[in-house]
Amino acid sequence: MQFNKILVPVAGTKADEEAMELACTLAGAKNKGLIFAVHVIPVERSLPLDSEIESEIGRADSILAHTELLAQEQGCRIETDLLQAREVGPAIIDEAIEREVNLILIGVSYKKHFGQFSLGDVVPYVLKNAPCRVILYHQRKS
Amino acid sequence: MYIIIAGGGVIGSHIASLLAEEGHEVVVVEVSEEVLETIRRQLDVKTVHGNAATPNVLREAEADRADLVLAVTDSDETNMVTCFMAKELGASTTAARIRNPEFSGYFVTPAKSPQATRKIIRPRSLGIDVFINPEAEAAKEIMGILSGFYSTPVESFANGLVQIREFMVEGEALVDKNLSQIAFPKPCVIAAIVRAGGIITPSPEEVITQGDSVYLVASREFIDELGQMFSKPKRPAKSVVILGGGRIGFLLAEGLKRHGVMVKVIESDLSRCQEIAAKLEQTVVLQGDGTDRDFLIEQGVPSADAFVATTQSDELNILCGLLAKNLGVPRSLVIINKPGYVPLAEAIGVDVAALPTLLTADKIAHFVLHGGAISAALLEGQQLEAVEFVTSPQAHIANKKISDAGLPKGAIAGAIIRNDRVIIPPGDSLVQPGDHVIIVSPLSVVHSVEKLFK
Repeated sequence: MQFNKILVPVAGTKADEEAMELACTLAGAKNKGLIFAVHVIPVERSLPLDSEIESEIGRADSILAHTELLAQEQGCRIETDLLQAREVGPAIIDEAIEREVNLILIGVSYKKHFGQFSLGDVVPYVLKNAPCRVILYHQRKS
Repeated sequence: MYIIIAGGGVIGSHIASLLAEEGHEVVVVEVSEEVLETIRRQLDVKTVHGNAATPNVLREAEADRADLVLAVTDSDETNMVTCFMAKELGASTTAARIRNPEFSGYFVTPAKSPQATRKIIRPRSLGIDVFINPEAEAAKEIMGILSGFYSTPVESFANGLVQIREFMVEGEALVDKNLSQIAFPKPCVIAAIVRAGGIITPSPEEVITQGDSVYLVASREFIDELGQMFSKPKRPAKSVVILGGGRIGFLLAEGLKRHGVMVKVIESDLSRCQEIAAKLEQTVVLQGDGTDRDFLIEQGVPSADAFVATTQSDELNILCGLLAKNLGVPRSLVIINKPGYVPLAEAIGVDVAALPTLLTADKIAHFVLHGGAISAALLEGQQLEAVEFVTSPQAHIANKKISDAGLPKGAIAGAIIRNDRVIIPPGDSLVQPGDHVIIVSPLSVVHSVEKLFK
């Protein structure tokens, strides 16, 4: 199966780095596929959606720069985008639709919520609403 | 590296000479034929005549194979367009000198609907990987100096674990002593001795003389304690008088205010005074002449912890810095643009002379990294460079002792960092793959050091 447009949401975790490596493998080097790495800054409802949250933007920029570096090391084509929205899940879906991607690849780390393994809010939303295939890359529990 | 420098002004030609000396392949693009002719005569670099913001000129400069394009012309807009064009033509990395702070930030694009996702436009989306603002760098450097115990800038490596700082030998205790006779209370390495403007690579038999200054490499937690052996520490500034309300003065006042420092700004131009007074909160802005002794006394300058002269005129800065020193201000810092004035300013007692030109070059040095290096800093008027290398398993230096590695003459290993543990001095230690090694070396042999880590 060939994926020529892959969307990778990144939040700066180790799982994201491994997901990026997998995305590069799936996209294939030598300019075959194109990876879109996206970071979404969630904006609290107490703030206007147009607020420029400098500290968050700076952090997000360095996450995306690092992601770009990872892709370049693997010889992959990458485009990065920084978004801000009220909810992360819908922003990822909107981006997937706009970019017409044929795969969303998400890195998931092992998280517990009230003692139970949890996927959080974003992953279930993406699985439910994605217009394309979705691969969850679960990082090995350390 | 193949490096294109757009703009052959003071900063452009300075960086070109520095990079050419380091052995990089450098091309300078400049509109003025006259300036180009001077560069051709003075530097061993290729030159291209024309406006770097046009595709034809960039093609002639072979931007497609450039590892780095540095746009340092006087115009922010030209620099931005040059980077954008170069990136489109295939340059790997771009850096632009942007002085207008409004250009260097991020901006949120208007959305299609009130609840729709906003896209944030970043400098990188415009094809600019690094923004360099010399004035902001100068303000940052001065703030760093004012918040510390010493008047010299500090360079940090290995996530801040190791620091390199220059100390003037002020007391008599160490004068006429061999380095081997000095009992340092904590582990450290003397990476270089500066004597009469020249650099001496220290040997154990080297004798410290009056007027020397030393570059000390040590763990972050010990550097201030070690520094006390050489220079008397000064208390961090809590009240600062800034002469000149230009870009540097304004940025400095703004930054110091954020850190709770009491700031007074003296500016001669009334309209500029009104402009900055409206922008700066809880800051006293005074209109007056910085050379007027009575005015300075009247405004309480003698009781300030530090005086910083940031006007456009080097001569005025030096004069006012000296006047402040004469009035009893413990720290007097001046901004100087002409490198030739630095020794003069230091000789007459002005503590630090920060050059925006050198600071820009320093920022670029961090960026133009050598193979295997992850961080670099220029020292002593750019005669020395401190570089942090990461040892790869294939490196020539791997599994060898530093003393047996064959470091070129003049180069000194300052520290090894292994799993966040600092090893100083590293002399007999075996360099293992994955180790971070900090080397201080004259600029001319950095290339040979680099080969050891390949």
